[in-house]
Formats: sequence, structure tokens, C-alpha cells
Amino acid sequence: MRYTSATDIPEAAAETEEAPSRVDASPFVGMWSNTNEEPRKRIAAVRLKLRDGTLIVNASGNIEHEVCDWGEVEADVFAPDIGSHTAMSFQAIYDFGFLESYLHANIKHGTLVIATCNKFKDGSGRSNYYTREFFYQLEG
Amino acid sequence: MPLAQMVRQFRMAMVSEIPVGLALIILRPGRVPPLPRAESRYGLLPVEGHNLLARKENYMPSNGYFRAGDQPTSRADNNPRENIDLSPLVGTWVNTKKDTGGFAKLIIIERAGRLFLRAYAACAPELCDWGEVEAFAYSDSVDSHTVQAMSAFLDVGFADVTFQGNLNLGLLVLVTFNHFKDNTERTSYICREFYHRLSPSPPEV
Repeated sequence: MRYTSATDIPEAAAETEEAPSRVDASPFVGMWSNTNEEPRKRIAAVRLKLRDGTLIVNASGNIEHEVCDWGEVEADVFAPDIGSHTAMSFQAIYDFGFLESYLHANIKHGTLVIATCNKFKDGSGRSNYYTREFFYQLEG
Repeated sequence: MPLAQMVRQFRMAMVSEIPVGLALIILRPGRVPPLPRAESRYGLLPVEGHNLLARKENYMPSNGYFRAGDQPTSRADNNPRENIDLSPLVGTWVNTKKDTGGFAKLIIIERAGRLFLRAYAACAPELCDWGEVEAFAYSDSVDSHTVQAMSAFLDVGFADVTFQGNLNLGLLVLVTFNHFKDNTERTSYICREFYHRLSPSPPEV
């Protein structure tokens, strides 16, 4: 079995366990709202759902107090280690043509933390930028 | 007039009065035009209700943006020719956890205005050199030139690894997203570790 760092080596117990093919992403499912009420916040809300076992991300930006639906993209989910099957994190990519947004997210103390790496492709001169924002889960 | 030609003329007459998608079906029966899609590294997914493309047209006619954060706040600070200052990232970074099983050392260099990452994984008896990959720097806003974070991507064949790091209080906080592709039972996982800078410049490139 190939690995390039020590963390890629399964522990003995994990090797014998019959593993499901996917990480369970159900802890992410729901509607999440940005904790920051400032209008300049980058992502206003995120809806996360499962479709055929795949985590689907539907983020919304905000522009001048209007919500802008970014649409849906598939996410890849990650466990805390190679022997675990409960999702701890996910990543997804939005390609808007003029801009690519890479979402990296994890849940910590009940808060969804989303970091974004934003790369402009339109030659506008705007700096690529990074954000880190916090979201709380809405009821229902 | 042959029947096939009549059918073709009928289709051509119809297409100017109908939506483009339906016209394509008429012109190329059996071939359904694809739905608008949002791209993902993990595949393409149809966008429900075509809302993404509709929003693009509504909100990005000239200097496109999808959120308030994409707009420059100060015209004076927005120098399109000035690049992000990479120097706070450049150097040798050592994992604060001495017995790490992940990456023990990172070397970040700047070459011709571009950023490159060389990661060394914990292996015995010597560290495993993952080779050099291009990295990308990010500021904290569209009109800032102070580096805040970096990212890189490496395909090692049996796994895809995405690096995402940000600077915080002198530390480089690095998260790696490890996605196995070799059909083993290993689960995709993330690893978050902390690095301190050993020297502002790498010893050798």
C-alpha cells in the first residue's frame, strides 16, 4: 500500500474494519447562516444537503443587501483521519467564469467555519483574497 | 421535394420562433442540449432552475462580482499593477509538533513573482520530499496587497492533496485535504497543523 506520510498508514484496527465507500456527511446537512451581520460579509448563507450520498453545497452571496444565489455544486468530504467515516470537513469549488472560489469548511463546536480562496481570472487587477467566516445552523 | 428536405425546411422555419434549446432538439433530434452547469473539480452538476447563469447576467455586466467582498472599497488603494507581497510567506517553515505524522517541513520560495511550495512529509529515516508545486497567494481583500493565505494542489497519483494555509500571529496554519484515488479502504481526511518560520529565506532552492 502506498503512502507518502505517516498519517496515510492505516492503523491495524482500521485495516480490518469493513469500511463504507463514503464518509458520512450528514453532520453538515441543513441551513447555515453567517454569524456576521455586516453587509460586507462574503457568504450570507449556505444550504447543505445530501443527494445520492453526495454532499451538495448551495451558497449565497450578498450584494447591496440582496441575496445572490450561487447555485449548487458537489462537495468532497473528509474525515479527521483515514480510519474514520464521519465527516469533519468538506471542500467545493465555484467557477463563476471571472472568479474561482474554493470553499474549505469544517465544523467546530457546532459552528461551521468556511475559508474561501478566491482567484480572479478576469485581469481586473483585483487581488486574489482569502476569507474565513462562521455560520450557525438554523432550526429545521 | 423529398420528404427529408421538407422536414429540414420545416425545422429551419420553426427555429427562429422558438427557444434555442428547443431549436437544437428539432435540428438535432435525439440530442438534448446540456443544462447550464456549475463546475466542480469533482464533476459537473446541473444547476437547478438555471439560477446561476441568470444571476451572472444580472450582476456582473462589467466588473463581475457575486458578493460585496469582490468590490474594491477604495479606488486609490486599488493598483491593478501591484502584486501581493509574498515575502511574509517565503522561507522555511517547521511543524510545531515535533512528532508529526504529516508534513514536518515546508519550503516556500518566490520565483519571478510566483510562489512555489516544497513539502516534506514525516518519513523514516529521512523526510519524504514531495517535490515542488506552484502555490497561490491570497490577500485579505480585493484591494489589499498584504498576503494572508496560500493554496496549492498536488496530484501524487494515488491521492489528490490540496494545501490551504493562512498566516496567524506568526504561524502558518496549514490544512491539507487528502483524497485517495487508489480504491483502498482509506478514507479521505484532513489534517490541520501549525508551522513556525525558521528563516525568512530558504537555505537552498
